Amino acid sequence: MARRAVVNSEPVRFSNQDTQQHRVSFNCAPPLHLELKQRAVFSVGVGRFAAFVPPPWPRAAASEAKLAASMLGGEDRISALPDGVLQHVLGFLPARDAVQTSVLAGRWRHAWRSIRRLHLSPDDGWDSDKPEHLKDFFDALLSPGDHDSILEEAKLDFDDWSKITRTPKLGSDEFCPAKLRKLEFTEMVLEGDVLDFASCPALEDLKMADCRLHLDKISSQSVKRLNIDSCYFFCDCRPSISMHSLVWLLLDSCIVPFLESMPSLETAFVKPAAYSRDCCIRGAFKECCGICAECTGDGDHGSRCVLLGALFGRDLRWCPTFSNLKTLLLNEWCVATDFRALLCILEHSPVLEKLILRLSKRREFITVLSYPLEKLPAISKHLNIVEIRCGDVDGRVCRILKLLSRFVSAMQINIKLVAQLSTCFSFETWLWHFPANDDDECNIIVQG
Amino acid sequence: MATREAGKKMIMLKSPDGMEFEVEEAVAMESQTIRKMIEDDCADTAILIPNINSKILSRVIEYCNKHVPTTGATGAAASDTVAPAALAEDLKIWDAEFIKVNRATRFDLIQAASYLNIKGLLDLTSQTTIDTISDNSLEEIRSFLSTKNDYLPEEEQTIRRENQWAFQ
Repeated sequence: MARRAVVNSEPVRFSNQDTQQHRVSFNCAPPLHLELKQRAVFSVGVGRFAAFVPPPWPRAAASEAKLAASMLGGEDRISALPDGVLQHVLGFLPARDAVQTSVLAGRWRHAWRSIRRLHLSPDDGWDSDKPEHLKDFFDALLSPGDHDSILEEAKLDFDDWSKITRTPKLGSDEFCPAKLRKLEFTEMVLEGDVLDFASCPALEDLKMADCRLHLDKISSQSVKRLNIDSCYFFCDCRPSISMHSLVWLLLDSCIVPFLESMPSLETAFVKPAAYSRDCCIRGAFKECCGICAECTGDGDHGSRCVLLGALFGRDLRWCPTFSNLKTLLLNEWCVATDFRALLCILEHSPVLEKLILRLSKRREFITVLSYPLEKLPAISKHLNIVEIRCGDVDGRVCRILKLLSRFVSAMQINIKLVAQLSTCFSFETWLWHFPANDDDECNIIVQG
Repeated sequence: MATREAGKKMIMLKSPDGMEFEVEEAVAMESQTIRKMIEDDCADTAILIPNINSKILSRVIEYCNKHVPTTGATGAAASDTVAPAALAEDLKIWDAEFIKVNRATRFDLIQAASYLNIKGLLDLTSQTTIDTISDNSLEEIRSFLSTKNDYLPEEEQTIRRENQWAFQ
């Protein structure tokens, strides 16, 4: 099939067609705007309280309802809705209005506690000088006892949540209804261990936008979709994300966190913030963070692509065989962390004849070659042309040469120096600055 | 219903008033209730949808038809979490038009969405219902819901005190 493949700034996609789609896309070009397709935006939820089982509407009252409704310009049939549907409908009321229904009549007293969706925002009229109000609200909403919470979806939209509520603590038993499925934070300050969702067994969707996170760990065993958009982490370490069930990940314009094992991950969209480095902050200061997998305490991991390494390593497990691929152009992502990506692709390209590597001029990213000779994979016997295009011949190029010379004769490796190359590691940079043609290059033939 | 491409599995839905609707299986499976019936092999010939008349059922099918996930060129269904912004916006506009119905029809749609377990439609109808009452005063809502205030004055005061913030 493909006789020539260009793998550079485009989303990198490998798929295992037989079993599971597995895709990781890195695309720094125009920000992809993603929306959860489930159009019901995270919204309201509430707890179910046994006290709220609305009795059947009395017939007399129903006729009054018709009368009253006709005065309001239509027939009211809310009364005819089954309990579960009524609770669903009530969930669309703003929290304040929902609570106000408690004074409608005795049977409505606890109804607001039974909504399934909850949207809290400053528009509800919370008084920031009276944090006890919100606490009382949650106490009533989620108080234990003979009520089982049916809160399924919650959207919290406070600019200073932590100030308003020391309690209930998010993620704790106090605010983790057993059925909570979706949780969304907007413009909130989150700190401490509020994002430890150990007691939210049903939580599947977690979304944070424009939040400030004073914490270094986000963890859940159940979350499948995680969306972190334009959030700023305040921590003296690399924040870690521990979500073993994650299937879908979006990290947009944030510091790149350390990702723990995500064996189910199928789709990821990662766009680091412009100022963010994919490295461990502590490591950069030659300290041991104790979190990063490769942290040795000598500061060596400070400059590594921790996130990229984790994702590529995972992605490459699904590398298909490019059975007809003869010419392959790769840019430096394939050597961004180490040679695993490059070796994996070579191993899966059995008839490859020509390999071109385009490397931007940039600071050191490659780790020390750690592949013992006996572990090197078998690659195409037809590979006889290797071209490395780079700004200058540095340690990285030398290590690549050292590796490749184990597969082909050094005479077959051609290094082309290209004058105008980007200085920053970024797919986006590649898109904008890579020369359309290689006019300025000069050739160096490496002598064995 | 419009003619479908050959090869797509069709499902017959019957309303209690005798109308039959032939729809693509994928469209019908927007309803979690029908999906379960199909998956449990209870849907050999036609599925009777009780309590939902043909007028409402046809609207529900119209909704499902619009909201069924599009199939990409690769044959893989679009991811259930990612929709291009333009598509989402288009759906939003379409929904707004779709729900411009009278109140009786809207309540029929709520109940249909609830019975058939179509979350998007249930949310749409619920939100629209709430939009119509949320600007009213408590007294108006009370009469709208045909609810008599059966609290003693002191009871009502207690409740107001319990959730003071909401009544300020």
